[in-house]
Amino acid sequence: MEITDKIINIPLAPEILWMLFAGVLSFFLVMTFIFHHHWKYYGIKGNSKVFARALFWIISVFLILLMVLSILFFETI
Amino acid sequence: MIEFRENEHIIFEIRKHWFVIATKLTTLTLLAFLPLLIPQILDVANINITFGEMENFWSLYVFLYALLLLILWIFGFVFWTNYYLDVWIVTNQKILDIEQVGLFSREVSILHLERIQDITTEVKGLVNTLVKFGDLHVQTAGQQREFLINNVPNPDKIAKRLNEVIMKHKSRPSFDSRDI
Repeated sequence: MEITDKIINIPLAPEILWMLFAGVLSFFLVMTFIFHHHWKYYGIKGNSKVFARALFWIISVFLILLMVLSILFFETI
Repeated sequence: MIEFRENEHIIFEIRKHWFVIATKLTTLTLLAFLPLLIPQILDVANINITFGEMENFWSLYVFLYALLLLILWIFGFVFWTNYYLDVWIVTNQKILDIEQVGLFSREVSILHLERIQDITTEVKGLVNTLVKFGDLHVQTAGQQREFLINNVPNPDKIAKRLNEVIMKHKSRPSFDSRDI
């Protein structure tokens, strides 16, 4: 059986990735506002609130930075 | 923020069983691992993907994977927030039934302890029996209204504890905890 490599070419400009990133970032900011509103006014208090807030921000910022770095890397290659 | 009267204090809170949120979070976790299979599938099928002049598959892969993880992460917090805010708060005067359905639907009902007439528990199904969770119904006097909280852990124990609180703080007890 002959195995041949298939090459799929998808023309993709970095601008499209930046637009996608902007869309997800907007969604993230809206959801963050909603979460903080709910946690503040609907009764989550004490350690649960501090822990949830810290965990949410740490992981989210890490993923956002990872996205930015990967687009920058994509642009420079 | 929920506010209580001066002589009122929280005795305990009732939330849904952890199994309820665990099933949702497990689904999200499985979805998070799914894209890890894509490079293996492409490798097995001998497919090379290029993006225009730039042959950088991995930077795009990391970007899209991080994007997916962020969306799943947000949905995970949506589930957790709904789970955390959907609660029954038992005080020495009343039960606050806070029903959170989604992020934008919230219903708060108050059951005064002296109006509670009947407490019923219900455990149905194999999983519910093994993991020990079920439904708790509270019947109030007057309008014949029934309050329900689904999937609470150890409903029998909670009903017993609830009954003890009612017996202790209610002025005219109408039933005995031995009935449960």
